[in-house]
Amino acid sequence: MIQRLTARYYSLLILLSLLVLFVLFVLHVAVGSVAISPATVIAALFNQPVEPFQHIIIWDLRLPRALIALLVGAMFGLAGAILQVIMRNPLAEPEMTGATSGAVLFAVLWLALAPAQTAQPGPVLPFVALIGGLVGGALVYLLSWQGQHDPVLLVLTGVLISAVLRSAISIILLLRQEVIGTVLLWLIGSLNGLVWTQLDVLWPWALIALSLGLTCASLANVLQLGEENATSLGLNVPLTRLGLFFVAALLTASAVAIVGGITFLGLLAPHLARRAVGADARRLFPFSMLVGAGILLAADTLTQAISQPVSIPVGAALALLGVPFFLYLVWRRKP
Amino acid sequence: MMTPSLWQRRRGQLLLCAMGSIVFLIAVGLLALLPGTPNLSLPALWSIVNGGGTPLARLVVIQLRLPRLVLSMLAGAMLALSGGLLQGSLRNPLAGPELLGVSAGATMVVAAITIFHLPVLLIAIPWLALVGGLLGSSVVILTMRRMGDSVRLILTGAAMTALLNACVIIFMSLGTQNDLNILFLFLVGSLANRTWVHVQLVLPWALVAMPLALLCARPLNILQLGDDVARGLGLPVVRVRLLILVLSTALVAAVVAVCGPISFIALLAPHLARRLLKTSDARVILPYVTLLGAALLTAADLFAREAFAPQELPVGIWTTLVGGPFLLFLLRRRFGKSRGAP
Amino acid sequence: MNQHANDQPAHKTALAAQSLSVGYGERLVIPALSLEITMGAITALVGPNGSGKSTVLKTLARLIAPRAGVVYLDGKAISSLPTREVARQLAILPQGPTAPEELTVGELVEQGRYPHAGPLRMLREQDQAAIRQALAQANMLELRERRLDSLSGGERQRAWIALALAQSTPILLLDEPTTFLDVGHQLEVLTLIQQLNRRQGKTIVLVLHDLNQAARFAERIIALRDGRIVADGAPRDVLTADLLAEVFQVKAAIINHPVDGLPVCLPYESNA
Repeated sequence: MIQRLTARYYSLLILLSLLVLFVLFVLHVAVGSVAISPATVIAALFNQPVEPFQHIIIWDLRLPRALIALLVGAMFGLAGAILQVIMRNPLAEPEMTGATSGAVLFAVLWLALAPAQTAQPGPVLPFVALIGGLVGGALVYLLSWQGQHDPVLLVLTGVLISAVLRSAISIILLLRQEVIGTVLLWLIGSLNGLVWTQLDVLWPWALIALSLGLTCASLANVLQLGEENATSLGLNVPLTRLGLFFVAALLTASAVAIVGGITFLGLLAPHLARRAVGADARRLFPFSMLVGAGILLAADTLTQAISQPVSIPVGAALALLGVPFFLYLVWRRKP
Repeated sequence: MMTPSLWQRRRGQLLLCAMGSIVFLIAVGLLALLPGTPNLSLPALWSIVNGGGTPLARLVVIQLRLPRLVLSMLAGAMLALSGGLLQGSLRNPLAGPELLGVSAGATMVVAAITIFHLPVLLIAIPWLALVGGLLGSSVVILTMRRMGDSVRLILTGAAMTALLNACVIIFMSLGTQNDLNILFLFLVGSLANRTWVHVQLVLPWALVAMPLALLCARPLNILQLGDDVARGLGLPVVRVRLLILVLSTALVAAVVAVCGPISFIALLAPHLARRLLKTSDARVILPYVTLLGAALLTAADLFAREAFAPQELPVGIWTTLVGGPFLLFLLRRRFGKSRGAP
Repeated sequence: MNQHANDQPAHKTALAAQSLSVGYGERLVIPALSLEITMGAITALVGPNGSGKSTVLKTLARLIAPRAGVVYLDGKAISSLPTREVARQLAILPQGPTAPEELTVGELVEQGRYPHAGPLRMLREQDQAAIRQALAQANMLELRERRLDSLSGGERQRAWIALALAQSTPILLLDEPTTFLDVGHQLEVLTLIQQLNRRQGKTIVLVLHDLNQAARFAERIIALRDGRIVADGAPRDVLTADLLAEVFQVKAAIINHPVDGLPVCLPYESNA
């Protein structure tokens, strides 16, 4: 792959990616149970007159879903990239922060304890999930603290706490078996049925978290050099790590709060982004966002195209992407 | 069987630990037969053993509680042995079937069989689970670049487990509501309603795999010294490691086929054993771990049955809820001490 | 000291390599190397970083399979011999070995009997005797019950050497046995190795960083650069200013040690 990415190539790459993203976006809106041509979509987006029926579908149903996919994909991409930098390991993923399991746990608790919610998860659910995600992240972070942060311990804590939280979820599901169906969709992650209401909840958090993440890029670069080198360069390593971890947890928690426990995207997107633009966080972070958004849009478009009227949850499609990913990992290992 | 120096030095201590575990095991085993409907007392139990007791009590004990007890001991022993083998051969205290994708792989296969009602013979299920477990773990192991790399191990294992769990969830979403509930109960790992049929399914695997596993003790000791030294001592490292992997996966697969994935026994028992016996000599640890695993799972199952009676929560939930944090606690101290060491 | 019954008479075994080509992945470290190890002598492999000295040693010990060429042990290709058979002829101590924390010296050295006892057999009288003798030779008998992580660097290295000795092999290969040790422990370990050669006729091949140590303790020095043998012979013949300039790219003066007359290199300027 490209070894040294000069500034010019990078700009070209970004432009190209934005173009691709736009195309994917339009395709996403176009594909669905009612087929709409891309031309119509573009026309509707630029407020040209279109057929009222199609206009409603585009603006009320498809557009918010596409926008959510865009944002959530970017958020997972960035969260994964941040974690890979903190851990100095390209295999780290947002699930490790405990934010995913925490968010799902709180969401399930809410669904189980407030039975009226099971019919139509209301506006409170995302907030509950968000809090859960942050609690999960805090738990992992605090429990792995030993005066400093050993990467192995951090990863191990993340994995173990996620397992513990998931068994708590299992307890609830066992006691309230009727909720299993609704929760299942949550557990995989799905964009089904998401409209402006959810988008309205999402975008402030997305904006805050994404901006925070991007501004931390140069700090993240220094952190990547290793604890000792970073300290000798004057960086407050524990504080920086905490801050970055918090941003990653926030990104994950707010994304999961809306779409559920999508797991693979946060691992895949930064990995691919890294292959293309290298390890410099100032390039990796934005590009990872673009790649994440692109993958999610593409995956959701695909699942919608092949399964109507109710599409396969996108989390399932993403999970299956893991298969070629692992094959790739095995193939690429050095002897 | 034991090294002369170790034996002489700590004969007393080792014997004490062994006796203690056996006593614990027997005590827990007896206790497991008593509570429930009907609640029995020791004399009542004794009379049943002697051929007396009410027909209901006899039925309950012989057809329900006894097989469950036997299964919990077998499963606990097999899981613990599996963990001991993996940790030794990969030279990593974090290697456990639940973290390497073995459990997840086996579970996925069994879930597929259940949800899609695949026409598979009961006897064949553990074999298929074995294949699933091997698939899961081999990917993780193949992506490892060097032995000591714990971070990579956990991360790849976690990613693999996430992938396999997602597959299970996908299967679940394709099934009916009824299937869902049954499967869900299975997926958390449970010993409830297990009868002699289940014991029969597991027993051949136990009888073959467990002795083989115990025989791996000396090669495991050699592997502890590093791949180069081991090869220099004449151990065919790759072959031995492969054999150990297959053995430990077989041990887990048989348990998963019958009980579902019960986590953390495999990870915890070897740690506890090493800590109690203060050695990592596999010839001592492996037999001890078998006892410890059996005792732990039996105790956990007893707790699962009786702690919130009459409601019973599957034992797999408890082993995770308690085992997870406990393992974390154990490992915190270890990683705090040896900063930087894998 | 009496020769232990298990020791092979030194002249029977021969270790040699023919046209070896060894690499890792895409990198070819050794293009084509042939050499024959002098039995009953101490040979030192020296060379700059990346010259392939460890690679040669590991290939000789069959830890690495060469891409081309053959390693011969006792006239037969080493790859055709069962690995345990090889382990009875040849012991290798790799660089920086690690072991579980709780391991004691005795437990470590015991593992050296594996090639003789195998996975199932219990340790027999002769195994116990070999272990005892190995510990004695390495001066570790009193430290037998101590945990490895409670020993000093030199003691720990001697424990690992005792492990190699317990294998009772006529040939001993050591990869940088003195790196990470302070000067006192370095001399301690090297003196032990020299005694093993002088008193028991063991054939020893060492990879060494320190040229002066090689000059002091080895009878034959093989200098490598970029995977090729650049010089091969007695220390006095090999350690010349020209060689140092060529192999290590340093300007050096060679003098005779004031106490025993052995060659001593004194590099003073980089030539790179």
